[in-house]
Amino acid sequence: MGKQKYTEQEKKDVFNREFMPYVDSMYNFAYRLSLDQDDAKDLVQDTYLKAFRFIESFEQGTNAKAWLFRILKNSFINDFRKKSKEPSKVDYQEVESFYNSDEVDHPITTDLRDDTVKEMMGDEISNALNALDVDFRTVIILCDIEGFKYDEMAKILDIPIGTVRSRLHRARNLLKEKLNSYAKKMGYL
Amino acid sequence: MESEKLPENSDAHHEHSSNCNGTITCKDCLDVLDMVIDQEESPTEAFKQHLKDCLPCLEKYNLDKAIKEILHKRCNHQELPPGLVDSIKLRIFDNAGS
Ligand SMILES: [Zn+2]
Repeated sequence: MGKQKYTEQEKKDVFNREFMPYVDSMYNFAYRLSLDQDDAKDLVQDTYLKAFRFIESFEQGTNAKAWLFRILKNSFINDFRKKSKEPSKVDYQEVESFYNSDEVDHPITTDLRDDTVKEMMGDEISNALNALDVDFRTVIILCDIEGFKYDEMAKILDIPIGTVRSRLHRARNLLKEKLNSYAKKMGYL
Repeated sequence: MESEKLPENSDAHHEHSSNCNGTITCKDCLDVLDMVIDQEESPTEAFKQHLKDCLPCLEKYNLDKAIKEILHKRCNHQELPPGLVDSIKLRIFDNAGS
C-alpha cells in the first residue's frame, strides 16, 4: 500500500486517463444517493478534488471506479447525510436475522411477474428505487446499475461480503414490494 | 489519508455448491439465486434442473433477472449538468500550480 510518486504532469495524466472517464457513473451515483441535482453536482466535484489530492495513494492499474465510488460514498455520509433530516432507518440486526432465518422465502409479492415488470415504464422502476432507504438503495445502485461485484461492493461500503449479500437480498424484496404496489395502482395487476 | 484507501483484496469464496447429479431443494435454489443472477457463481446442473421442475422458483428467477436488467437499462443515466467537467478540471488544474 505504498504511496506512488508522481510528477505534476503524471498526476494530471492519471487523473484524466483513470478518473475522468467515470464522471457519468459518478454523477448518476451521486444523484441517486442525494436525489438532488445541486447536491449531486457538489458531491461529484468534492470527490474529484479529494481524488486528486490523494492521487498518490491510488495505485495505477487497480480499480479506479471502485476507489472513486468509495470516496463519493464517504463524502455523502460525512458531508451530506449529516445535514439531511432523514435518518437511516435500516435495522441491520433485523436484516441479518431476516436473511438467516430458515424459512423459505417464496415471493412475498406473488402476483408480480417478469412480464408485468417489463411492461412498466422506466420512471416507475426509478421511483420505486428512489423510495427505498438510502442504504438499501445504495446496494442496488452498485450491483444492478453499476455492475460491481460483491467483493468490490464490500470495499466501497466497508462491510463484509455476507452483509452485502443480506442487504442486497432485503433491498430487492423491498423494491419488489414497491413495484407490486405501483403495478396495482397503475392497473397492471 | 487512511480512510480513502481501499483495503487489500480479499477473496470472495463461494460457500455454496451442489453435486452435479443431485437434486436441490427450493431453499438451496433460493440461497444461490442472487449469486447466479449477479454472476457471482455459475449455475450448477442441479440448479438449472430445479428451475425446470419448480415453477415458483423459475418465476422468482425470471422476475429478479428482469428487474435487474430494467434497472441497468433505465436507471444508469442521468444528464450531466453542463459545465461540470470543465469546472472540475479548472478547479483542480488551476490549484495544482502548473
Ligand atoms: Zn423451487
